[in-house]
Amino acid sequence: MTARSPILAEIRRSRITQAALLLTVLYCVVALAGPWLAPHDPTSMLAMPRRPPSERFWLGTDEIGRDLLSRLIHGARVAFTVAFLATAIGLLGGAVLGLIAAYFAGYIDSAIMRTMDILLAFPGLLLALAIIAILGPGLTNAMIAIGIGGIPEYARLMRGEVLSLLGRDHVLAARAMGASDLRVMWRHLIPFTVPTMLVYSTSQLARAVLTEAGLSYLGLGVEPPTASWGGMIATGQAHMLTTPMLAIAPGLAIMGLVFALNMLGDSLRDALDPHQRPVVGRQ
Amino acid sequence: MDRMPPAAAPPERPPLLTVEDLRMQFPLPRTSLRIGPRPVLTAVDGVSFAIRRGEVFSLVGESGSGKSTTGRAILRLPPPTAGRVTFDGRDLSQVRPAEMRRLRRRMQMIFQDPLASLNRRMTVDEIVAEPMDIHGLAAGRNRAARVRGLLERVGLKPAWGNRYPHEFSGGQLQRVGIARALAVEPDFIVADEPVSALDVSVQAQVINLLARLRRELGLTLLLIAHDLAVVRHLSDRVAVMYLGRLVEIADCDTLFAAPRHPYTRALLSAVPLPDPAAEARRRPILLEGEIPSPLAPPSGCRFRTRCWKAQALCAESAPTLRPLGPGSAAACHFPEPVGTEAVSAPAPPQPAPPQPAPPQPAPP
Repeated sequence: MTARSPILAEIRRSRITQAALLLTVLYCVVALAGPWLAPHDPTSMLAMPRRPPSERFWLGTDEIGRDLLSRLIHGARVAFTVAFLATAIGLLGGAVLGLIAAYFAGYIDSAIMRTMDILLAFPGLLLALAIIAILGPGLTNAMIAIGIGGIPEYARLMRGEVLSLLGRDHVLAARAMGASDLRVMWRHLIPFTVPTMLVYSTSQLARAVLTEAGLSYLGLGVEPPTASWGGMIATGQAHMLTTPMLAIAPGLAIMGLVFALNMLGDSLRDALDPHQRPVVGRQ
Repeated sequence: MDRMPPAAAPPERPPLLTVEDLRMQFPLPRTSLRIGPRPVLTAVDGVSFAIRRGEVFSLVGESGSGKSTTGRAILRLPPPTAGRVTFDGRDLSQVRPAEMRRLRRRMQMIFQDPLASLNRRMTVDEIVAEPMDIHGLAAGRNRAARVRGLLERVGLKPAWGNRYPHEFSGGQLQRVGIARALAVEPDFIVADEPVSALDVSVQAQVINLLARLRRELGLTLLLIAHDLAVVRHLSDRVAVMYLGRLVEIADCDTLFAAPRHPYTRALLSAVPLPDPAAEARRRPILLEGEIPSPLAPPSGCRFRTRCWKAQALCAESAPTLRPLGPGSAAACHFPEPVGTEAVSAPAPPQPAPPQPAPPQPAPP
């Protein structure tokens, strides 16, 4: 990377990027410092159910008398954990498969990519549901399910990137030197795919947050007493007419995070993606 | 095309590299639903030659003549469709992949586009050291010293080693590419259009560098070029390619003084001369039309569609490369007689000026 980072330039340039970054950092802080920030224990019943906001319970209490704010804060941890780990699973799995498919071509390529096509044919949430039906519900399994659901897209992206790189002279030069396949991949292919893959993963974080919320809403994600935004909406919606806060607050939390992550992904793409950027003149 | 004996008198030692009946075909995607074999593009069609140790052997021809493909096929990048390449007595098609990787230490390549051929995420030090790392030749302080020595040898400041390729000019980058090729002390280098992507003013410097390295290190070089001035300055022997076949192969001086194949003669006549008087007398032979498609090459002699001497025989049978004199062979039914009017060949560039006299004068 050059000394003058394109990421810093993008942050300086765009107000939207600044806002998205601020919001994401805020969510991160809340997620990381959750146990210290939350005023109460998120799983104990501390008061009467569905109390309106008060000095002790800033957002009121939920349908069985737990502090809504504390549950929201703990829900952020769940959302982030799932989003990052699921994205990592998808990225690593997809990148490795795409790299192998493009590099070794032929039957290996066909076998991998046709399998990916089959996976792609399922809508993301449906695929995650099917995987959870096999693995059983729970935080870890939700992460794995969401991660696997992301693999085909990463694999396709990586395959395309590597195919275009394989025709380049520096890869040919590495082979001419006698470099092993592993060295060609590690030193001459993978580093060039990082910007594109990173940009795509950022945009996939938001998708993972949404899918996790969807699974938890259906009761297939995080197991109940643990707070998760999707689960909170599911239980809160029964009280929509009397205590709308129970469903609206986690809904807004999801919306804000997804919005921030999407904007951040777009900004990162503007800053990094070599395909969208005009070639910078060489000195 | 038939096998052909090396054009010149057999050398005392076996040649370092022999190429026999090399053929390179690329299957093309189907263009229709018709059932049958896929269309095949034959880029190189039965090329044979031998390169002696310490010799600079040039392949010249228009773009699309298959000269670069030949150079790459010799290094098995990718392996040829048919034919045999023997390097130092070993048939490369019989060598196992792991052994081939080790053999690559002895055969290196210099590329046309220096920026594209260098990994832009590695520093110059890393780039030059990589072949040594691959073949486990040097480590630690020894490795750093060798990189420094190589950079100096090609005329770069060793202090620049921690810079990235985009910080250099084209000529400097080509020097990095040359240093990388030299890093493993190869016996044989394929230089694929090493100067054609460079500014004319820089070309002379890089050519002089290659000439000097060749003198100092006794390199055996396969030079692929379309610039005849470059070829004449560096080569011992020259082979001319047209549409995937060798049409003439001769000692450099012989070829430039008395080309035997009409195509070679046309090529040489197209080069402007630095001497105004000679230039005024130069009568370029203008070839009609374009080089035909390698998908549907002409029958018989491939050059006949553009040849002013073509006759019925030329369409019927393909001429084979046959010796026509000492150090000269051409594939033509009606070769030019020796001593055809003084052929206008380019004069060699001024010997090694410190600042470049362009090797090829601008066309008037």
